[in-house]
Amino acid sequence: MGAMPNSPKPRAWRLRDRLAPAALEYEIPPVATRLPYFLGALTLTSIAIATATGIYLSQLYDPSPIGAHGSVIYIVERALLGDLARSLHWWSAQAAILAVLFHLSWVFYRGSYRAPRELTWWAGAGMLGCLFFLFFTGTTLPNDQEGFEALAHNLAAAESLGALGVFMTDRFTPSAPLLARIYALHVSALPLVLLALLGLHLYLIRYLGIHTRDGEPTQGTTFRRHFLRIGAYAAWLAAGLVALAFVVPRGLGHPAVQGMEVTKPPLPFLWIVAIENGLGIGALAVVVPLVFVALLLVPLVDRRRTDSVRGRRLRVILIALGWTVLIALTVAAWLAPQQQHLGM
Amino acid sequence: MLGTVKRIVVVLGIAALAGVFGARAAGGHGAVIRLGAQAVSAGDSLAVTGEGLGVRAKIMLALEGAAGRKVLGTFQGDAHGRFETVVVIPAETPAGAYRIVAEGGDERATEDLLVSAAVGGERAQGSPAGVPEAPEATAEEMRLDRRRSTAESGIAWGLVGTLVIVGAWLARRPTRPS
Repeated sequence: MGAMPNSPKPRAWRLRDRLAPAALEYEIPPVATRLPYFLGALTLTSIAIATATGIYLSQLYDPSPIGAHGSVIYIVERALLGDLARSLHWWSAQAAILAVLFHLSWVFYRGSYRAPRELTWWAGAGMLGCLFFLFFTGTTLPNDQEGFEALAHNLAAAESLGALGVFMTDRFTPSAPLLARIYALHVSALPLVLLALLGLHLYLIRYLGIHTRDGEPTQGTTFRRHFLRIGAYAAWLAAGLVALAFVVPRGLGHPAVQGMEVTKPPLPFLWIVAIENGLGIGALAVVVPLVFVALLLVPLVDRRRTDSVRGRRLRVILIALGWTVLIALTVAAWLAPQQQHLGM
Repeated sequence: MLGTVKRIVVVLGIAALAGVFGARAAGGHGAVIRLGAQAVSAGDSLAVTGEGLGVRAKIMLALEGAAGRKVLGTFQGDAHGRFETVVVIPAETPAGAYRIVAEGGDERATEDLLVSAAVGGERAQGSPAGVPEAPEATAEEMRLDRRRSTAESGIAWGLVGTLVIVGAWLARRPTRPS
């Protein structure tokens, strides 16, 4: 087995031979170096941080209704880096929601949902739905007053769907409490769906390339350059989130008292409260799915192959309108006095 | 070839040693508590014994349930990390499923407990006999004694600094082809 005297000296073990960084050396359009093209990567960074902190928290959290609140107190007060991990989990989840909404707005503005990129858009819309569902399930887990009321809203919305909503109610099975099942969704099914959609999304971006408008060059920089810049922005985002988690830690409400509705949900869900205030809790099960259906329909409604100034203006107006409605509803819900929606 | 075998033996040896020490370290985290009864009435006393909560550690016992957390008392563990005490489940405790939590040193142990309504005479302040006063729901946040040791603060801010530097390094990295 010994080396022959005249055989060439084997090459030293090099990481670059194993990681094949040359595979990142493909051409991408120069337009991709603009800041809005990093929003998807920043969403992914936030999701990665939420995943890492979530894995740690899952080792300390008790999903039984009786133990959930106490285990969160333990995480905050006694577990090593528990308070930081929980706060970082919270802030990274918020960052993911915000970044994905900006990303969606930019992709819509650029018209990048058009053929042949419909599937990329749908995978992205699916991930947005997944992120919202992950955020919602996460808010119920501390089983404090806010979490309990979120769960009660979920129950009421599910009940309004009749047989379709049974899965999200206590009636689905007597063998496991709803909170434990919600937790299972939060840490298993939803992340798996998110991962599958993310894989499809990234594969399609690689396969179809980054969308350019007519007249824009399709080559001019490399993905490696873009990748290094993604790393820089990701590191700075992570630094900001750690600092935020330390300076503004996530709070915890008192143990839930049933029959009372005294809290408002976190910022990403306030717009839904405004709809509830105006239309009642039954609207939850209609309006929220409608928003996602509208997103899914976008590539089917706008099927033109070429872009026009008029079409671009229309999209700018729609984006401005969407953000205005979202912010107006959020502010209205924030300022509105507490209302009882559940009839608890 | 011999060199490769040696390297593998060294790596496996280190891994085995790490495993042995890891297992021994993990073995030290076996805090348990035992209750004199699994079900009591509010107002009853309850014997609690425990071990593995730290040598001569200050041990806190609490009752946790859907209605909140009530500290039942603090005790001193002995030289072997054991303790034995009797606590009283507050008479105003609403009936339901609870858990007794013991915390000492860096350890925590829990045991489930069923509490039934207070029997005869004991009553919550301001409420009729046997009917516990309903707690008020509040949107306020709890006052938490957040764990913020100097080491943890150092880790957090060290991480922030490292990430900022790594970001700057990546941003300034030459992007010539490899």
